[in-house]
Amino acid sequence: MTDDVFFASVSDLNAGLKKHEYSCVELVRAFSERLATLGPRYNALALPLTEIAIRRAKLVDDEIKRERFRGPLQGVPFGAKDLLAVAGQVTSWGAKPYAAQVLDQTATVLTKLDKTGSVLIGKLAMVELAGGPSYRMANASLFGPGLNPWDRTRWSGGSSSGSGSAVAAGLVPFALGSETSGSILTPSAFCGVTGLRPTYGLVSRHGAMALAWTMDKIGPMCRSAEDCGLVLQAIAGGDSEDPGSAGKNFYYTPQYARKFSDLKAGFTAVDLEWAEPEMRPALDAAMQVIRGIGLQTVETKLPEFPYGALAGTVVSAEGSSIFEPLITSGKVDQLADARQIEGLKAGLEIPAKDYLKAMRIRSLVKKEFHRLFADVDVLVAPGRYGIAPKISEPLDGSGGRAAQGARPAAPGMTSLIPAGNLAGLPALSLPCVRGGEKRHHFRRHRAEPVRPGGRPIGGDR
Amino acid sequence: MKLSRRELAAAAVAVVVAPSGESQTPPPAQDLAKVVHDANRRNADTLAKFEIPISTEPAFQFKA
Repeated sequence: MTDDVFFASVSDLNAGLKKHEYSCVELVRAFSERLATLGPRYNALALPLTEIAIRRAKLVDDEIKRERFRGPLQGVPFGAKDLLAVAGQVTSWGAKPYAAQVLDQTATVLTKLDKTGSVLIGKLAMVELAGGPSYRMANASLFGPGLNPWDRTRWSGGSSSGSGSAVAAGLVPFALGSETSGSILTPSAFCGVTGLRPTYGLVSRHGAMALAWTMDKIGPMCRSAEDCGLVLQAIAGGDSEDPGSAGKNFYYTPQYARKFSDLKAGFTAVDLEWAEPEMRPALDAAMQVIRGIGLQTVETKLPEFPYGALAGTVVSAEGSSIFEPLITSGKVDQLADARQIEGLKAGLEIPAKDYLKAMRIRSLVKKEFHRLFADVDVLVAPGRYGIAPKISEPLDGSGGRAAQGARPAAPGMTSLIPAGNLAGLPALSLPCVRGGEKRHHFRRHRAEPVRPGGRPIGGDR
Repeated sequence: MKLSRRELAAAAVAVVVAPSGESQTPPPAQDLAKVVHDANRRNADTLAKFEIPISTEPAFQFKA
């Protein structure tokens, strides 16, 4: 077994197991050791689960030996954001007040993945309380600031910080993250991995810490879109324990996918003006790739709503309600981020009329997005508009607004993250690589330094 | 009153990570409380100005 396994796809690892190139125990030991050794380097590891994982891996090896095959995830190790409960183990939610919390249930998504034969090897670090209403600094976490594997002076992104770092650095083949408003897409963009935010209600939230009942989604963060499809297929499905469950399944069937030339991608040209100047060549190159594979691109615009105010009100009101005991007990003051603390306290004072107005406008948001998607099949936009910020700087303004010079007159897709989350829509964050797009681009990233965000520093690809 | 495109553009910044209008140095705790309350009030003012049909219901359903 060579170091190549650490950057292999889910399918490749599964194939290697079936060909007996290595056993599941060997794979789990190798990844567990790598996660334990390198995870702290990026503040990515919350809790190793090595012993449990090896016991599970032995059972998986027995099944593979008897040719009892369960599917493409069988035998593949993975990590889970530490807001997903594992019965009898610490689930800290990334926050000091919950550092010793042990829950007596296991999250539905983890039970589902266990049934596929994939093996949980550790819990991954996160921003405290998944970011709450908002936070100011990268060190808003029990585990310290999430460090970007490409440049440890820069932030990994959050709130699924450990999930992003761990996948990017080859510590786990895939991870589960969560998103309320940006927490899968942001670390995926900054760490250069592929992150999928599912449609609201497709994946059960049972056993996951809630931040906003009407906006939380759990999704995969992987090395490829294909891996995301395979993981989503495993974790999707109805769950009576989740009041928000849509009761729908997802089947990854690329063989039935529509041709790219049949699809229309909406975009806004002004997005390039919003991006930091050094990002623009990479973003432009990405659009060339999109056009090159045959997608029709159509200039469009988002429905006009005050997305920031809507997301801010909903997340603040729901989050503060969820954490009311934490706030009223005073334990909220133990959190790492001062803005997070004040935000949670202030959220309890949001009047019902403001929350209800936000939720009424949200009905219109959903309706207008339905109309938009009658004309286009997908929307294409930068995941973030700038390179990952330095961990020493406040996160205000991260996302790369055009800070120098005049702001563009039109907002473009700059509010697509809150807009898409408010509307319950899925999203896929793809690494943005200049030059030739390769399936295994991460192999090159190992050999050559790459600027956070996936764009190579020098040389053509 | 309908919001102008510039007002919508200004309100459209994602607030989960990047609240608007703050300086680089962290303000004292009591000032942070004011910053957050002011941000919530700005959100409320923005939403109050957004006109919607009277028949619009909230985007959640109670099922008996």
